[in-house]
Parts: sequence; structure tokens; C-alpha cells
Amino acid sequence: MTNGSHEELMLQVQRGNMAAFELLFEQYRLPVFNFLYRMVNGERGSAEDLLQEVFVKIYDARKYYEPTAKFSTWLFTIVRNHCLNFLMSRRYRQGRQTISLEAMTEEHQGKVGGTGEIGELLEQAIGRLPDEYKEVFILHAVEGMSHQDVAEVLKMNPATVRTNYHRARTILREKVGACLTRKGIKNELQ
Amino acid sequence: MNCNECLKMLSEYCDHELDKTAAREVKAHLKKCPACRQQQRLMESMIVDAMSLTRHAPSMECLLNTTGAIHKRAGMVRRTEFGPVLDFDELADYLRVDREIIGQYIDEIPSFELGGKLLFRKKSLEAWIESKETGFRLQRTEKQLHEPSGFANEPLVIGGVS
Repeated sequence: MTNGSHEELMLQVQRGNMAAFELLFEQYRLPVFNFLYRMVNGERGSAEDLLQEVFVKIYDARKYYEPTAKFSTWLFTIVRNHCLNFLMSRRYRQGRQTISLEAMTEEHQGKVGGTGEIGELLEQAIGRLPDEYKEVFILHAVEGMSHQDVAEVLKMNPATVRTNYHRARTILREKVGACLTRKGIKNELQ
Repeated sequence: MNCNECLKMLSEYCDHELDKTAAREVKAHLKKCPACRQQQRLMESMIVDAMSLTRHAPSMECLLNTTGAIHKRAGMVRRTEFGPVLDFDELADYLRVDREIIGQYIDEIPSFELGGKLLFRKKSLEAWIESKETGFRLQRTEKQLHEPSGFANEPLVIGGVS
């Protein structure tokens, strides 16, 4: 994700330049959508609703943006908080779903095989991570944010971000590894 | 170092974040343990795979709805249907000017207050617009007398917006 003069564009938005906001939307709609999409475990409808809500929220919050903050971290802070509120209220309404590793393997019985199966299993395993690991993993490993920027978005100590990231990766390795072993797919890694 | 200890540190090892002593121990264990080496390859493969996971895109409908919602928020989408009484925002849409312009002309525009809210009767607005049209016509005629060629068919102007 390049940053360029996104801070300057946001200052122009504050001065009423709608075209500047459209440029920012163009630049960030995909990273934001992909973050939301993975946070809601690939529910396209929810991710699309959240995308709309979150960009309206960002527009409404334009006057609170201070140029001392990196625009991408300011934006993702709003995106992440909005998404967590959505997830918390949904869990409150429905009760948290837990899906076992076995169920995950069964679910993808027909899909595993050939190249790309690690990516396929990885995508599924990311969906099953606890939120605090999932968000760190998506922002750093998938969206390419630095640990420092992730720490700013999550309002966390960079050391905690690093720890959560390595825990996420360890869980993912265990889950993906177990699925591959179960399916007898070892050749690719040897 | 046993396998469990090695696997616990594998992620940091792959990112070169371990101190020299720990890194040396992990390296030594990996050299003699094929099972952990396989886990190391899996970890490295996952790092590459994470960066190249499918980039999902929102649907066109979602994008149009989102830009529509933002434009509406920014007052760029104007209402076109109005009841007999308008509020401040509706008045701006009705006259097709920015809210700031309404603010500048607020003392002039016929209005009434109800429950602390400033309201505008459409009928009174029409009469006010008519008076503005008459004033504008007179002004234009006067200008034409001094400058014969010019803006014979130009429309009503409020706040510089026609």
C-alpha cells in the first residue's frame, strides 16, 4: 500500500474537496474491503455493507483527522473499530460459532489438490483465528503494513503486535500442516 | 533443543528476529530434524502465500451505493420531491444551492419557527422567488439600457449560482 500524499488529500477533503475524497476511496477501497472480507470470514454481503458504512464514517470524521497521523493508520483504526463493533454485536445476537479443524478439513475435501492448496487452506485457517491474531496477521502479512503501523492502528505496543503475529503464524502453520498431513499432501514441501 | 521448542520459535526464526544464541540452536535442530525442516518450509511457503492471497473486490453495486451514500452525506445529491413545508437542508436542495448560501440569505427568505426549528413554506418561497425574478428582470433591463448587447436570456441568480 503506497502512502504518497494521502495526508495532503485528506486535508483537501477537510477544505471541502470531494474529488480528493473520491481519490482516497479509489486508493483504499480494495485494501479496506479485503481486510473486512477476511475479518467477517468471507461473507461478501457483510463486507460490502461494512465497506459502505465505514467510508461514510470516514467522511463524517474528516474534521477530526490531524495531519500528524499517517492517513492509512488513521483510516484503518476507524475501519477496524467499526468492524469489531459489528462482530461483537453479531456475536452477542447469535453466539459465537466455533468450527473445528476437522470441520475445516471436511469443508475443503474436494478443493484440496494440485497447486495452491496451501493458499486455499491458509485462507480458511485465517478465518478461524481469534480476532486479535487475525487482524494483526491480515494487516501485516496480507496488506503489507509494518509492525509499527499495525501497532498504531490497534493502539498496541509494537512488541505485543509482533508476539500476536508470531502466535497467529504458529497457529496457521499447525492448522494448515495438520490438514495437509490428513490429506497426505507432503510432496510439495519436501 | 527439542521439536516443541524449535516449532515455538520457528516464526521468529523465519523473520530473523531471534537473538544469535536462539537462532543458532534452532538452526542446529533444523539441521538434524527432517520433521521440523518440513514445518520450516511450510512456514516459509505460508509467508509467500499470505502475500499473494486472492484480492477480493466489492461488487459494482456496492461501489455505486458507497459513492452514492458519501455524495448524499456531502450534500451532492439533491432531493427533488418536497412537501409543503421545508427544513433548512431541504431548502438548499429545493433552491439547488449550498447550505452556506442559504445562510447568507436567511434574513431575506420567508420563514417561520416551530419548536426551535426554522421552516420554510413552499408557497411563500415561490412568492419570494417571483419577487427575486422581478428584481432581477428590472436590474437586467437597466443594464441592457447601458450595455445593449449582453445577457438577454440569463436565468435567475441566487448567491452566484444559476
